[in-house]
Amino acid sequence: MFLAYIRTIILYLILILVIRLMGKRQIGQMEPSEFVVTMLVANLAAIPIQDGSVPLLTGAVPLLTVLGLELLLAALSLRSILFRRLLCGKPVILIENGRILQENLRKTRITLDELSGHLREKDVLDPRAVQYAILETNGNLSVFPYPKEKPASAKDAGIQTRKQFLPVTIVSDGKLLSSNLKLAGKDENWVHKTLNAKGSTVSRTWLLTVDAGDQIIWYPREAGK
Amino acid sequence: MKRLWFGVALMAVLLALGIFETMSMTKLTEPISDSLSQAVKAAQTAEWSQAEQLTQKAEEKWKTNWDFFSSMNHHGPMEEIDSQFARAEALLESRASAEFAACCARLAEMIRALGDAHVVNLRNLL
Repeated sequence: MFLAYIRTIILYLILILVIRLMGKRQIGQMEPSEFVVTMLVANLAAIPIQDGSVPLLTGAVPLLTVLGLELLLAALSLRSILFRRLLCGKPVILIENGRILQENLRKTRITLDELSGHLREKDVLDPRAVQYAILETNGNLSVFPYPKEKPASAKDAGIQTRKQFLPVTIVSDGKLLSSNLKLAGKDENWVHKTLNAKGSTVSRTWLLTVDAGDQIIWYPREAGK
Repeated sequence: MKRLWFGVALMAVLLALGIFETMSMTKLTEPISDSLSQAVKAAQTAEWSQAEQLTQKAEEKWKTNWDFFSSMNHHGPMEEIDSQFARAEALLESRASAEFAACCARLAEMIRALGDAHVVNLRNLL
């Protein structure tokens, strides 16, 4: 068990090093350490499940060790920029002011085809229309077109918009969420009054939300459900 | 901050359990394999009552700690050791000196290997 503990630490650190060296392209949506944990945890759990002759501790100890390491590294990453850089790397600019930075493409081992593919995913056909394209530490590409290339916002068009508020769920699937009532500054009387006005009750409501502007969203439960 | 301390505590607990496990395995397996080694010598000099006593002592210690051993080791080697003990008992009754000595020597080696497998050294790590 102690050996499993030490070997897990060694393998975990080796895996992180390998993922970091492989670069950002393999990672997808996750940071390197998260990717390692994802890969390890499933395999570690499978071993004692599949093989009954393997003691449960042989699976549990490495799993808990991986958890402990992940918590430690996550906490250290929060506290130290240097450590975070070491563990996750740093974002790399691939396009700057419409110009593709070829040296950075080479460093990150991203091909032109891959870059074009990522741009197309962000509805960009012309790299010259991009002011910045940044390869993030989790392998995602953030694309910032030039302001003149972006669709006009309400602000650009000088349109006065309504204020936007976050809706609070009051009734969900026929159940009254009392804690959210307080959050929304409402009470049960208001709920019953509002639902009565719609010819409904709490148990016949699928969704009822209200926001700070007293805008209500209401869906009845469908018959038979 | 809580997550950091939880992580530290978890790693510390696992480390402590690991050290306890390593020390316990060595402490428990050594006397068993020593008893069996002595039983081999006794059988070779035809001291059957001593051989029987030592074998029974080893088997008793093995059975007493069986739950602990099975929670730390693969069950395959454990079951083999159990069957070797049964074989040793049968050979003891038949007073087959050479076979009994070989059986006990093999048992002693298997139990020693079981304990050694938990020692933290380069060979085990690699």
